[in-house]
Amino acid sequence: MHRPRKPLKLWEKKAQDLEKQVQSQEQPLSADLQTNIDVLDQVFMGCADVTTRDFLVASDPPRPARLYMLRGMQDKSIINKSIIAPLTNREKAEKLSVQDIVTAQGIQELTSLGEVIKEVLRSNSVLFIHGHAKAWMFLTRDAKIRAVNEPNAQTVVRGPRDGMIEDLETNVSLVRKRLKTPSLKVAIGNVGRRSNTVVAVLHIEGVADPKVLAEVHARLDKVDVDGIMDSGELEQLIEDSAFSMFPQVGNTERPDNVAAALLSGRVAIMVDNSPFALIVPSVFADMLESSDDYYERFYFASLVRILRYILAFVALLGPALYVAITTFHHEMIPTELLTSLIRARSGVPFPTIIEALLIEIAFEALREAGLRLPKAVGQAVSIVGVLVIGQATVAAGLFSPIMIIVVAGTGIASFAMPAYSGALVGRILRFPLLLVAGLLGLYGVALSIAVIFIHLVSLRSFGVPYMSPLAPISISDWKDLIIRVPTWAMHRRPTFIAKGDLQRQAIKTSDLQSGGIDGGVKEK
Amino acid sequence: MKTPGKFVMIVLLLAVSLNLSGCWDQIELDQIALVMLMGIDTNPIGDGFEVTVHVLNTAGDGKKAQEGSSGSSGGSQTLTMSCRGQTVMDATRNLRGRIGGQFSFHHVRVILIGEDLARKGIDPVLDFLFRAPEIRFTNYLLVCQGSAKEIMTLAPELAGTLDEELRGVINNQEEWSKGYAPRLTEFYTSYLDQSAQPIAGRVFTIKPDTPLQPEGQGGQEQTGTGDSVTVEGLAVFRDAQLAGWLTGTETIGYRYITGQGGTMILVVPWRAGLAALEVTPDSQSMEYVPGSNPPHFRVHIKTSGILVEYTGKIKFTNQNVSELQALAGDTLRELMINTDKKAKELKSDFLGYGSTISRQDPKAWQTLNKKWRETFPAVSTEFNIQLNIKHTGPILTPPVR
Repeated sequence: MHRPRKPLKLWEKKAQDLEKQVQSQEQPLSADLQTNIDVLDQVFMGCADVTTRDFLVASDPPRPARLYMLRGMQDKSIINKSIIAPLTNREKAEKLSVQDIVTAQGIQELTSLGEVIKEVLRSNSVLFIHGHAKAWMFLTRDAKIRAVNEPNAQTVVRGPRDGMIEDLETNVSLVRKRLKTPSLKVAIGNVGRRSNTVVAVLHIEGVADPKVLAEVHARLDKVDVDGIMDSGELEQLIEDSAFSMFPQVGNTERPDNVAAALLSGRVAIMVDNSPFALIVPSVFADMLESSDDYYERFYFASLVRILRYILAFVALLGPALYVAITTFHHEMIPTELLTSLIRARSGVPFPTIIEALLIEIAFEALREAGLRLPKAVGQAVSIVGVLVIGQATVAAGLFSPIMIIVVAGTGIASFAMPAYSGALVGRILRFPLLLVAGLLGLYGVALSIAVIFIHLVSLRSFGVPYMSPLAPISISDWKDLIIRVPTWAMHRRPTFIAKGDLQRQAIKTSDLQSGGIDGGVKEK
Repeated sequence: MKTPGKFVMIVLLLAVSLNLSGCWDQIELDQIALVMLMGIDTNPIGDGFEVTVHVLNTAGDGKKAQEGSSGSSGGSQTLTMSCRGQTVMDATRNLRGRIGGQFSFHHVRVILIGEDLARKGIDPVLDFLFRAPEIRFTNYLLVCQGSAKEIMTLAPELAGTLDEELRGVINNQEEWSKGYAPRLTEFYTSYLDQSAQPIAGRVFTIKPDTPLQPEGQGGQEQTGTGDSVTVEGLAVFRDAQLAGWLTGTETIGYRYITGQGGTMILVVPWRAGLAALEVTPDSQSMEYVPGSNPPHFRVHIKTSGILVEYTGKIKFTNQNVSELQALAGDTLRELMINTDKKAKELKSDFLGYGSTISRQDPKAWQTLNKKWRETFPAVSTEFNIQLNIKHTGPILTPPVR
């Protein structure tokens, strides 16, 4: 079926033309100010937020000049005191170069029209002086950004309290603050044909795998969209298996997490206007790790890890196992428990599977409603949830209290997952698992688990197998898997991610003589 | 017509398979008629069997459970019903005409056999118990004095259901030793073993307010009229038939001779008072004297005791205690000898003499095996009992003013 192509509307066509113009603007600047002004006036036609300031540079003879800038995002005092004032000052303006006169930061000479347009739109100010076939760019940006404060989504009890914000430069500097080494490399690029979003790729040279880094750059280069609003969009464009339910790219809004990931050989991708940095490669085990694990002592950290693994299974399988066992395998249930289950279920009008689905849907609805509502009203949702679901439905005999307990327990278990995107997987997969459990019993559950695991081992994140270090097995990396060994015993970076310098800390000579804790370190 | 794509074909084929498997054994919890206790009797009129079951009472109990007073309000927690059939399975299927739910025997944990059936021979029932996949091998096997149906009409005293009560009593036997209830597997292994005879637990009714019969006189007099259930003593089988009953004290002998011993209270009359010792077995061994004819056995039993009660007024000294120790050992030996006598009386080798020979002297057993029934009552046994009184409690002198 072919739909006849609609003729483009005039303004659409015009916009496309303009876009083309900006993109392909390798056109050099003219020495004549008026020519440049004419071109730029045409480009910025209708952009009311682009303002100009005309003045005379007090050279001999005085030359007309024009400053282009964006409204609202400029530091006016810098423009006045450091750019316009010196240039109009006769004594100073007699000197030859603009660099010597202007005291604003980040002076850069621009020679093409495309660069000029880009810099103006990045809210830097651009200066044209008649008689020069170039323009000068100054960093006069004063973005109105949110202050650095505590992250909302990834909270810790112990550990740094600063979270990343919507400004890329601030975010990069928060990481740089933690890794004061020249080997931390920051590459800057642009993504988005229209949004021109700045994207930074961070890695530590000699630790990150060059192959992964090359892959990151290659994939970012291939991204061709008109705009990126958040790193989440970019994640979906660069992940390995686009149809998989499991997130193959990690995300964090904590700069300490970014720094730790970089130290382990991962690569971070930061997107301007997004407080979430992307971490690649990201494996399954990363979803169950929180930065708390490293800041608290290892006994507690290990205990919590074990708990999280159990809860992850509960979150995924809780209702499915309950439905399968009670409807197909009641002989597996201890007799005393079975008698109370039977008593609790008598009089419930729905089959167990329908009952489970209904409560699950109600629970998801409550969760979604609580998320979307303003905070003040969110309280009301939880009250309704407690009263309606918890009390009234059981009292009315619509649902069995045991089922409410199972679903509520599963809900709690899914909240315990540190990675929100990981918890979402459990929320989605729970439903197909529930259906299969209702149809085929434990046999179906076992089958589904097999399918999920087959899928998991086939996944890769930027070339790294998703189930590492479990499959393929690398036992030396199990120190930071289910059990978190003491910090002093973590001598090496994860070998399935880092390449090059694998040693995290000095190993005592006694350890080396006995072959080291993890079987000896190969010295390079 | 255009052929559908591969993906569509796969989805369609998979959709068809949804109808193929699963679901057939699906059952909602509220449709289950959960059998808690099962009793098997002979059919009182004609051939076949009568099966009595206790089914969990769920009718209208949903509301009650929420009030937090399940069971205690009004009706009993279980319903009793029985049905007759040509075979046990036939009888259980006939039960299905009585109740709307689907019977589930998976959770039966005690199986009662009526005395009539036990006397006639329980081999047809045994086949059912092991062939039916729903019956667990860990079930306790108990033989009732009287019919199982009668016992199952009695109300439990402390526990909510009769099977709970029975299992509670069975669990107590480790600290009492006057009863023993084997699990189905245990019964089956000794039933199949040619050199051994099986035993089962013994259930009978008593009247709680009538005084207990003195020990050693047997419990037979106590049955029939009571309204309280007790699991005491043993049902001894000769092959598949019930040979007779063992009393509580005789059961102690059985447990100690075969090494299944638990803790027991041994009462020894000593110096104008009664001393009660809590006895625990330490080791047991049975030894066949090779070549002896008729076969001679030595049973070595080491036990240790703690004095827990004394009704006399004598202060304990080392000499005293060793005297008591010897006396207590003799009393214990009497118990063993009594049980041994009873075994020969019943002509049932449930004490394991035959299997001792077959283990320790397989060649001799090959000849003895053929006429063991006749030889068995003639075997002689020597009991070496050691009782070591470990301590006499925190007081040496009885409280005398």
